Amino acid sequence: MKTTTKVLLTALCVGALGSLAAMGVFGAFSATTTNAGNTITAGTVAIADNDAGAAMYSITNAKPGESVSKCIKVTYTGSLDADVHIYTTSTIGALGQYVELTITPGSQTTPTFPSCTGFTPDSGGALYTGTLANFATTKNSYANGVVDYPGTGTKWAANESVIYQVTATLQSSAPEAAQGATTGAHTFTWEARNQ
Amino acid sequence: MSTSATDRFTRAIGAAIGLGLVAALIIAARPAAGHGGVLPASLRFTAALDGAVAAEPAAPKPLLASGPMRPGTHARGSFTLRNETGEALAVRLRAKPSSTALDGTAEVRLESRGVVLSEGTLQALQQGTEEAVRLRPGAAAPVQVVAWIPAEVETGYEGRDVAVALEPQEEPLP
Repeated sequence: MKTTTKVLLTALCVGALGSLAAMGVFGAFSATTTNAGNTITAGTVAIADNDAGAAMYSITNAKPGESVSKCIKVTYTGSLDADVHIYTTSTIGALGQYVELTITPGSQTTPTFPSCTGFTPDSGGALYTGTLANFATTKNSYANGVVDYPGTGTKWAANESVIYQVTATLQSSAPEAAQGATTGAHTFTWEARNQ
Repeated sequence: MSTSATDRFTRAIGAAIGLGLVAALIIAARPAAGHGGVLPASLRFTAALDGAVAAEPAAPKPLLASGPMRPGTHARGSFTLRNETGEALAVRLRAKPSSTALDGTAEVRLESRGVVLSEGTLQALQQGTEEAVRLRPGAAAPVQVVAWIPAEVETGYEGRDVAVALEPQEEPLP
């Protein structure tokens, strides 16, 4: 046998043995287990009303003692239980101090904004009674807003709703200074936050 | 040990009965032919609220719960829409399914007062109905919902359960 052949055969043997050894070194049994399909979907907080963008009231030429009473239905449609606070961030004009505001929660058989036909107040009575100016001063953010829940509950759940009767009355004792004054346009806000 | 002819006969009868029972069990456990051999689909529709338009029954109560659905099965339900705003509204309905599992398989038809609002796949209904329900302030209208899996469908529905919320989308009418 030629030397070259011997060398090649030796190299072949060494390579084959090395490969076997490598399989022993790197080979291993293995097994896995998995936990599939994990997902997180956030809940929702959503609140709406039935005003279709229209104001509850817009009175011109108001006389002392004149009153307007309108109803708005507020519906919570989020998936998370929530708190709802009522407030305004509007700046109220000089007439605001002579306008008495009452906000009363209740129910209504066939709500049709802004009608209050068939409105039945909740047994707890009004949520707020005072001047419009005072409301704007003391209830001007979520933090100090009026808190309300449907019925006697302590949360707003999906698809729960409350009818709010909002009554604004120009005081019959409004002074001469109130003549020609205005409250300015103001917005009531119902804000929901998850519990 | 020798066995008599009677013993052999008795054993043969016993073996035949045993084999018969095994065969009966196998046949009973065999999946039925056609679509009966696979899990059915199911659809559940609810009507979502958005403040301006009320629905009865409203979610979470279902307006349609199909039960087991296979190709050719139709399921029906209905609900009432009511305009609670002070303005006349055109209300379209849009499907929001819990999954896409039956998007291209299930067909849905919505109809109100004799007018077909939409007919097509569940996927198409996610874009909203072509026609709108017109509601005066305070007015209500019934909406009929029919959902089905076409008879020619062979696969793609098996064991799929989808909950569909029908969401109203309003536009004020002049």
